[in-house]
Amino acid sequence: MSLVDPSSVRRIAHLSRLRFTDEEVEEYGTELAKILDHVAVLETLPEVSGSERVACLATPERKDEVSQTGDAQQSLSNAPEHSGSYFRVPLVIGEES
Amino acid sequence: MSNHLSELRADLDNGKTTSTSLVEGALQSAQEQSQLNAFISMNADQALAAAKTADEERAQGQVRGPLHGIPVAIKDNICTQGLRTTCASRFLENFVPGYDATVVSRLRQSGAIIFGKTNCDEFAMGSSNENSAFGPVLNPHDLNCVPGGSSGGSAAVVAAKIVPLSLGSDTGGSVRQPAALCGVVGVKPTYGRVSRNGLVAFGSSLDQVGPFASDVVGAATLLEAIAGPDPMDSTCADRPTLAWSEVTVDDSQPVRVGLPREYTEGLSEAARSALLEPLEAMDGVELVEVSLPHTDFAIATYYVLASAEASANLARYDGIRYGVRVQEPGAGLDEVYVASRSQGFGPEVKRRIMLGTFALSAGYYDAYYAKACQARDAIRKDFEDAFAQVDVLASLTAPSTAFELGSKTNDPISMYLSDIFTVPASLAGLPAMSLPGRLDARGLPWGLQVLAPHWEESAMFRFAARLEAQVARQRGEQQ
Repeated sequence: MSLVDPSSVRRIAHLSRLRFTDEEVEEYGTELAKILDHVAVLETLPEVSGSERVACLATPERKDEVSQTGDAQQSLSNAPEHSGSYFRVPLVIGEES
Repeated sequence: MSNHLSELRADLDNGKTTSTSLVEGALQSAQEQSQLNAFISMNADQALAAAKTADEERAQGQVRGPLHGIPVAIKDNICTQGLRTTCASRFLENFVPGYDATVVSRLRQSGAIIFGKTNCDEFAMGSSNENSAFGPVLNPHDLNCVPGGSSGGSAAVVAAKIVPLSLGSDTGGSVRQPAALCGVVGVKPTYGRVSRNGLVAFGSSLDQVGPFASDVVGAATLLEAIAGPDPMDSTCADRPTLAWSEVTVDDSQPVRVGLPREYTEGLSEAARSALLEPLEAMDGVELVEVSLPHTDFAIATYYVLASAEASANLARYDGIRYGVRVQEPGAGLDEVYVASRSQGFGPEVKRRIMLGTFALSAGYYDAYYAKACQARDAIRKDFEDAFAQVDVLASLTAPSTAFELGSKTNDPISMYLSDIFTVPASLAGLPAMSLPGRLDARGLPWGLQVLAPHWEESAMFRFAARLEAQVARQRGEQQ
């Protein structure tokens, strides 16, 4: 089974919350196959054990201080739908399961 | 007309021009060159008002700093309060940020004028600016060619002399590669040098905001204004901002310059001479061949890691709090997510989300994501070894000069390979910059890249200034 056969492409699309037509599934499958073919070079990298890995930069800490960062109406102004001081969302729980 | 910051500053200081007339000239120039498609949004009224304020302050002897009254263009993935920020995506076509990115608020404080928002690849994903939902940007040197990407608009507006300075963002080369293809200076600072607060996230372990200018000193001046620690970004390091713009050309100082073997192998004769001719003619420069043995892993590593991070970062675009919402009658929450994302994102963004989701998915994580993390460490170590021998590294910025529109759009791998020389420094978090080299047979500029160890922007700018002077001498002979 190819990593990017149509059913795998649809599975990844579902995980990505994207929808494709059958034609697009074909197209993305072909392109992803080519990209993964190139990425396969990583398989030839010699094993590196965890301890040999270069340490990343430390994350600095700071005091958690309350500050004013914009108001609610401003944040709501970009929402496709809002009501009062709330974002309006589509139906989350159906009438029947 | 000059587009060098130092000359514009002198004209402002001498009263030969005003900020208002600089902004008016820039607006006119932008209109005359609208075929470049370099701007997504203009900020004309606000820019003129800010220019008036800057002129009034100057008249009262209040000059805030070297950018006082200077128009600066901003890539459209950097938030500007009250000014539309689209990321060149249909998804954010009408998004108006409620706050300024830290880099933008620092520019305002320094007296700079936010001139407009520049076109780019959608969510900064691309190497040619052909992935913009607002259409491609054209290269000012040849309208049949791409300006590079993803910060193509920011590079083009400086190359076209519309504004002297602009900001872009660089994840795998998105400042340096368009700077190269447009013949301007572009800098990717050390990861952590500049705050990412308000930069729309793509690959968070790689993203850095960087300056464009007509010359090295201009870019250094702009970097000084935006760099430095920021409580809003914990990855922004507590490192002092130095006076990089005071760099002078000093050929008496010996410098060891590393030429990575892996970056010169297989170059065409024209490409090789574009790199070596200026370097070999420089005084006080010792050229040393070095090796970066894991270079062959860089593109694969980058596209796995950047796409994995992008797939997580772009999960926030769900059509609920901002952006496009596509809601069919009776659709539930999940269907709204799917419909909104499928309609709002362009093909390259979807490709990267798919690749990243795949690399992070159960059963493939170890083979792709974990392996790419190991390769990244190996690449970082390569640079450490090289910098034990030399002060800076030099290479071409891109394997070619500007290519024709449409010539790579059907072949993602070939497009990805245009980042071959810029991606490794991004993975390692190193400072790197591009400056214009000689012109090719078509009159298009080559880009020369200078890389330095972590936090060594000073060494990078020092050598870049010398190289810039050498190129200027040779270009004089070339013409």
